[in-house]
Amino acid sequence: MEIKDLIESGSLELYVLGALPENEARQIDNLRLVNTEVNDEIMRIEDAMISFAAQQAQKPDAALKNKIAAQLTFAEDEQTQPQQKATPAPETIMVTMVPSFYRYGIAASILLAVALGVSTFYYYSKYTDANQSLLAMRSEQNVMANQVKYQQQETDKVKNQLAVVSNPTNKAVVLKGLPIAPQAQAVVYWNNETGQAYINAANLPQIASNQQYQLWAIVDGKPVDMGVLDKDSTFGVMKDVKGAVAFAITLEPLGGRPTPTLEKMYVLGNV
Amino acid sequence: MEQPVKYTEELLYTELKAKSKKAFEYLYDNYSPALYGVLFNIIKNEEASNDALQEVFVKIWNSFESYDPARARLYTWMINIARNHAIDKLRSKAVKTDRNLKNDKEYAAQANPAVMLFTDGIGLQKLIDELDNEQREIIEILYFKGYTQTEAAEELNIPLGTVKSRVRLAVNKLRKHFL
Repeated sequence: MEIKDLIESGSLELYVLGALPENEARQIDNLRLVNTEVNDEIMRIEDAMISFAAQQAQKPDAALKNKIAAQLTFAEDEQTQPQQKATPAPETIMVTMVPSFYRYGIAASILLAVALGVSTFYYYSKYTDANQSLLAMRSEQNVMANQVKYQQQETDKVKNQLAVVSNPTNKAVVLKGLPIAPQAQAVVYWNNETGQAYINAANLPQIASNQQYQLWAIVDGKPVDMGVLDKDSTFGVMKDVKGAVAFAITLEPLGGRPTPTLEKMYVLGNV
Repeated sequence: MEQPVKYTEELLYTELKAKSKKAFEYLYDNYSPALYGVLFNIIKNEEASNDALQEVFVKIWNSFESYDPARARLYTWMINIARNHAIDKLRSKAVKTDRNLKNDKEYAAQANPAVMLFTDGIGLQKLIDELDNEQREIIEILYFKGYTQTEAAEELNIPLGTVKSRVRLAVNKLRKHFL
């Protein structure tokens, strides 16, 4: 049922008058807790019924107030009255029937049970807290470990590059841009004794994802494949080559080709 | 008598639960005329209403534990206790004097609802004039006699939906009156 329909239905009036069946009244009890529109309407109906009752108000016999007060127990009375005169609560009756040493025993057990309950709860919350902190610290530790690992890898890379670049037996061959890309440049570090070769290709134009640069050596007047350049890194280890007189880089389909596409040669350098 | 403190309903409730005598004084001074009025309008006998007021206050005093502020305001809760108490009294009296519920209702139906409903006062008279007979009847039967919706439908021989729409109209008129 729509809220508006419920409000218009007259059920809320019956609710305030206590004329609804129990199950329907409980539904409205729950509904008014979550729906302010319903709750406001109920309050307004209550206001009307309160005013209605007030309209019928009549002062009762003046003597009634004291008569009623005499039948009630007040907190103030309980405090001032001696203990024996106070109306005994059911619990007190039970306890007074038990011999006193048992009473202390029972009291002690109850205290102990309560204390145990409280401390269990206390330590359990402590335990939960600690557990959560531990988990948080562990994940933090993982993040830091990964960072350290990454830094280590980066450092190793730089060290390797530096070793290659600063090795006097390595020859740095500068590859210069050709008309297709005049600004392009790359450097091949090559050990002509061992044949080991490295590429620094920081200054090559951006290429599409389905393309890849490929390094070639010119040996005996023929191009020799030295492998494709890593797309994610500007410095790389290439295939060994001996007897090279020049190096060149061409643009090829992803994965490279067995022979260079000469019209797509970007840079070239003589040894 | 000491000047009573002004309580909000919430504070009053807290104090009443703690069985404070000051709170009782406040409760009695502020609510007893309304409660007595409700009792008298249903029981229609001064002595019986005096007894009922005492019983209702003792009942209220001992039932604060069961009062749920989320379900009704304190005022409404107490008025409902008074209403139900008065209605129970009437019904048990009806049983004692061998008048069953049906007879009691016949008796009520014969009487002029306007006279049944309201004792005196110009404000009340104005209020009666604003309700039509059907609306007076439904207030009489639900408010003063404490019938459930099903009992009301049977008694008046009208569908449940009509009970609902009539009570809605009647309470709306009361609301407008008290606006």
